[in-house]
Amino acid sequence: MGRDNIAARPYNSALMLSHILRRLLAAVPMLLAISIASFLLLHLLPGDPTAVLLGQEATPEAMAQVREELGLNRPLHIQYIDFLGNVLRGDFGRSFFSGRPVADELVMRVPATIELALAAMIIASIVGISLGVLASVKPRSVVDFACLGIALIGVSMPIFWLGFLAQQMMAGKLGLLPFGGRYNAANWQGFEPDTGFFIAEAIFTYGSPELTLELLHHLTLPAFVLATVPTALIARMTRANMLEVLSQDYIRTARAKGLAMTPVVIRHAMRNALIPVITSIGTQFGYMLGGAVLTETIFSWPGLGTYVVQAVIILDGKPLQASVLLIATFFVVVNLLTDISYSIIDPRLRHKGAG
Amino acid sequence: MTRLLWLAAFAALVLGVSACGGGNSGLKKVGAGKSILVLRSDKSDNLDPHSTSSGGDVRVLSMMYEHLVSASVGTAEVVWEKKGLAEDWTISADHTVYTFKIKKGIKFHDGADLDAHAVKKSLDRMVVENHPARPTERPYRDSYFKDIKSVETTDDTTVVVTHKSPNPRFLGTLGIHSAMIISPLAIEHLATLKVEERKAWITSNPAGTGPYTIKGGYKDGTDITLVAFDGYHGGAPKVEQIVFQTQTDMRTRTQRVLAGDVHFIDSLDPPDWESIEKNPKVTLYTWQGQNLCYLAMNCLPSDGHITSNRDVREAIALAIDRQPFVAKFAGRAKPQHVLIPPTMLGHPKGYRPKADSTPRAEALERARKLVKDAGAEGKELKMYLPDTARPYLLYPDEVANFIQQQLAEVGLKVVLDKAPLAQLTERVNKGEYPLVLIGWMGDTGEPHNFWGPLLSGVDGKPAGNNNTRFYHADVAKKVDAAGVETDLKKRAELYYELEKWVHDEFRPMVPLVSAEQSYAWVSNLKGVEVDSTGTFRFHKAYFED
Repeated sequence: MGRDNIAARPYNSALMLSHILRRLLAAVPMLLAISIASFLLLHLLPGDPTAVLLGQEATPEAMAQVREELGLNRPLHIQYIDFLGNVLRGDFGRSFFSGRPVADELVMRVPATIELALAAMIIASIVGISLGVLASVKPRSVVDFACLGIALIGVSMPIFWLGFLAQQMMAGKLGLLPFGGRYNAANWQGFEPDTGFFIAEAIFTYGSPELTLELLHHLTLPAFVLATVPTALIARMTRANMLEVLSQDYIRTARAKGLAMTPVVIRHAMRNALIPVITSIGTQFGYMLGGAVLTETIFSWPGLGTYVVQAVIILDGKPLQASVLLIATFFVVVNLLTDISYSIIDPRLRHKGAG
Repeated sequence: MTRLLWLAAFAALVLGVSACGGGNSGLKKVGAGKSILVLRSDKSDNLDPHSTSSGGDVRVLSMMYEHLVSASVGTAEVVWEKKGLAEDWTISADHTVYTFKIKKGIKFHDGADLDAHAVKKSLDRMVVENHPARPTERPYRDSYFKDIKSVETTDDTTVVVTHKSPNPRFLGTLGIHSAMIISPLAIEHLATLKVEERKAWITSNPAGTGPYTIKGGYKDGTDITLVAFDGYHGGAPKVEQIVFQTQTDMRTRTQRVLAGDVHFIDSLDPPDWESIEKNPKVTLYTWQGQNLCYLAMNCLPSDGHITSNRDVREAIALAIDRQPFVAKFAGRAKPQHVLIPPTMLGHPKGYRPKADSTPRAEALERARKLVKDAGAEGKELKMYLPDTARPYLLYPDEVANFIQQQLAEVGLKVVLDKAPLAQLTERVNKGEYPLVLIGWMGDTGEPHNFWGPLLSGVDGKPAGNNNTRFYHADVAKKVDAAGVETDLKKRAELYYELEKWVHDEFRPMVPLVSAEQSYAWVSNLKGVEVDSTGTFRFHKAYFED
């Protein structure tokens, strides 16, 4: 027989809720462990933060004074409790170098990365799924080989090289897209957004279609470059799953009943084949939120990735600590959401134990 | 088709919302020629002039703050001129008392008036040990301001600075960013804040007398927008705003200025200079920087490295061939054999230590013998190199590889250790490195700024930046004596003597090159001013049609 008609079974909402709650509870110790690890990171960094802060002319007296002012001479567990309390209040301390609250800097940096990652993920999902489906419908055809070839190039081409080439071609030779940056700041006066969600700010706070288009124009090239690897992965995964699903009996039955190929692929095959692809999209998105260091560097994109790299270079402990905490939390949250969405989408998980 | 219609409707909605939303936000498009986009290699984190030590910060600060003195424009050597906030000054015969006459009618960005009391207030923030408005760190205080006994005002326009001992270097000190003048109102406000909040506050609320300022606060270290200060005493700038963006890749910066996508860039790759010079779209500006790239050799016996043996250091000096380093700069760097760079006071023109004058074949043979006799053959030497390019060391990896190969020829095995610059001092002071590949940038044209931190020390110990760990009481005494000599000719002589003595007698370092530095800007941008310290300013800049 083909697949069990599980979709027809009654929906077990209590089971779902307990599944979600279990997942949420499991995330708490994970987040605590992350907080301890990121707290200890500051103490494991090479070099005395006060020496880093005071630079090359630090005297022992000046270092002692700064240590006192920053509370670095208190017992470790007290420092951790303070740290945790502060983090829960959204206070990540101050950058040693800029003296600014790290939270203020992250409010600008994290949204920049989210905008870029979101755009890249939308591109990767649309292009990747389309390529995968096209390839699977006509396996071993020219279309299939072309799609596989594109996917192979996407996975194997180093991002910095691709980014450089794309920049040379689209910005340098053709002049179609900008070299980098989030927008041409020299063109505008009075754009002082409170957060790094520039596109949302341009639309809702400033109401400027022209600035919105300029922001989208600047986002295009880095988003396409960042999307290459996930596009390739999604395309390959979609193709493999589609091929498996298309060989199932119920597809053959649907075709035998006289249904056209397109509705069969869209309504029947894709729905089943895309479930693991969605998990993969979630994981890829989690990676991207960690900051796409190379893409951000090539395109002068002031996101989380370049922020972390800069913090490592100058050994600025608090920004590094906050970024590690945030990136790890992103992963946990994205995984959690993927897990939950997976159980909502996949009826087998929804009804597990009910049949 | 229906889906496409939905998509179009969504796009129309977004643009519609953006067209209707906001409105009173003050956002406006700047016309062509009203804005300069600077694409630079570094970024700015801390715009408190008294607290920063970063070149990236200083580039931005120089647009917003001014000094009592002003560096000359168009001279190779730095000359301090009366074009700053002081219209005149007198110096006592023994160089302990400096009396400044402050210009009248100048306003700070926050509306405060500039007068002698404002200058005293600003200088005191660097001079007074526990000043109520001090930032968490004042990295230049010990070297430059600790020697000041008092800063007094005798009337509204006169400031008197008295030193504990003769200080012929003080005009140069007033030219560094730590002596930029901050508004008295801002300093009063800073005193009400917690110490760790102060530099962030002044970063967002600059209060200088310069032609540009930050409007609406400081958002992020990578993009900084400065707007013209209409009340600037030198006349309102023609260019309304300056935007600083960061791009660490040298080639991308160059391409963008060639494409006209940005207006001004720093630090170009020397092999590109020749073609850029011929390009009518771009103006290239180069100058011999006050910088030195050198190889420091650990001289301190208690650190336990073989480089504490003078013969090994001599062998290393003999083994080094500077030609590949100069070639990396496409010839736009001068081979260096002494500490002081070529355009500065105290540079003994044409002088070379004996080891550097030895013919190559003979030098290698002698070096091998010295290494063998010292029992150092095949010994490993850990060498620090910075993980980012510096103006005097654009390719740290390649230069380190050259050194590795050259020392291998005489039987020494160099192990490379690449690490952030921020770690260097602490690790050097722990005695970790026998060799350090690094450099030094001067900013005031003052030789004491090289001898004091790099080859001297205090209280019987090497100074904080002395990567050679070399300390010799007589050398330190002579460095101090040269630092307080008020006769320029005699000062230069004292520095010549030091160069001729220290390298031959002790050989603590191998000076490698002194590099030219560069800026480029689009050709229709006129009136850019670059002074003799390499600081660029735009207050007279404009775009030609």
